[in-house]
Amino acid sequence: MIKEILVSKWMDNTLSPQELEQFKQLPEYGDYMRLSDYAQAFRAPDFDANACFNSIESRKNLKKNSSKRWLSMVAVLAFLVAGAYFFTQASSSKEITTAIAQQETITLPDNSTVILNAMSSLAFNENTWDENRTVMLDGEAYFKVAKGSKFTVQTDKGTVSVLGTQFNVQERDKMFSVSTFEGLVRVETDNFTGNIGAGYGIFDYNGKTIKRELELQKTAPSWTEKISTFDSAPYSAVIAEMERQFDITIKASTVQTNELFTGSFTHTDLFQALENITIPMGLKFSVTGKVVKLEQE
Amino acid sequence: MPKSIADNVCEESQYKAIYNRYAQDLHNFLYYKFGSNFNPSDKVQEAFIKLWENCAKVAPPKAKSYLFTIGNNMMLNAVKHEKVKLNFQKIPTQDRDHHNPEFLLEEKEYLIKYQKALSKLTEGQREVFLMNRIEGKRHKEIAELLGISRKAVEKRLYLAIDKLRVDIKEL
Repeated sequence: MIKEILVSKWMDNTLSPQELEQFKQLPEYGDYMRLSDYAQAFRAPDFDANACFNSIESRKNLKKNSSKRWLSMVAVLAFLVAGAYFFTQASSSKEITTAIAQQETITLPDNSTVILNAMSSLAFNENTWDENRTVMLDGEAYFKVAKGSKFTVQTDKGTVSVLGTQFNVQERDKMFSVSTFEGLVRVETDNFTGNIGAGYGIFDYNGKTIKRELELQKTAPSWTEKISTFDSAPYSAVIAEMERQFDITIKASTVQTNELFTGSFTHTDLFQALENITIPMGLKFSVTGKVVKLEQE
Repeated sequence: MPKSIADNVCEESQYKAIYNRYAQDLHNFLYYKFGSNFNPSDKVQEAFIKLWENCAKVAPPKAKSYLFTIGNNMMLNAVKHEKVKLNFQKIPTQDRDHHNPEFLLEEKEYLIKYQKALSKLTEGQREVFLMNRIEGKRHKEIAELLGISRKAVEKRLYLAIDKLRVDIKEL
């Protein structure tokens, strides 16, 4: 028992001179001293506190900038609304744009929610929202629409309208696709007009439309969980999506980009994502700064 | 405890002060507890980003335990029961004979046994032991950092050093 007290005091540097003498008499004294001396060999690696703080700061600023942009938008809106009071019934239109690798969740005036994927923009009119639930979309977004009057999504390639449901609209380059997760959606494009029920989607590429079943048990598009999934999509669309989710440029001049790709990639790890999209196609990649080169294996 | 200027850590100066005060301790704590298979510096960064994101909800006196909990949880998610291993390096020696190969060999063997014995300690024992012996932290300081009682630190330290002594003898 006395041993335990002496050891504890020694480890807290509180031994009195007499106690120190007693401690030295312990048969284990030599072992303890050796353990104590050699503990230094296991010291933690150097921690570069400044470098770590700088990367925290830059990550913080990234977040702050996007909220600042939001703030200035609110300010412009407030100005527009104020203007409307004094002059005409000028409409206040609201536009939300996302950058590379950014996703934004937007709550519309009726509490419908929209998750906007990277490099997309959504515009709607707040003033006339009660009479006309219409949004303009450029890019990709997932909608959870509150029950109510007709809700319309307009894109350059077609119009999607519903009463209250959950669906995904994607309009990118030559591609237009709609997936319905709940309810019934009406889709009108130049070469397709019809209703899409829950569990189904349409995929329009280069003027050809296919209607198909969604993967079972899916309740939301996977990109809302940081995974982009493709089902027989042209490889060029996969590359384009990759460039939207990561701040990189992909060079694939020697690769067949009209081949079809089925698979997915994560948004959280560039290296893993590159493996996800190259290995199944028998490709290899090399990264130089922000440029990624894809080549045949 | 000095009175806090702001109620939360969203204030830049407050945030920086908390960083300066705890980042190094958090880093070393994570290293001693989980070993060198994982990068503790990344977890420090993640924990501080989390603190920033939730700065409005965390009062400054709570920041320390918030950071240690987040860091610890992030490590636990990454570790998933991997065996803990701490790297060792040569320690500067003054009074020892560098050129005696027999001594050097014996020293290396001792360190390998020491390394094994450390991995056999409980996480709780290892973290307090290394913070105490390497960092020279007093019982009270360790107790405050980990949010446990002084008595618990004392107990763990004694169990740790005695277990190391016995284990090294047996190895």
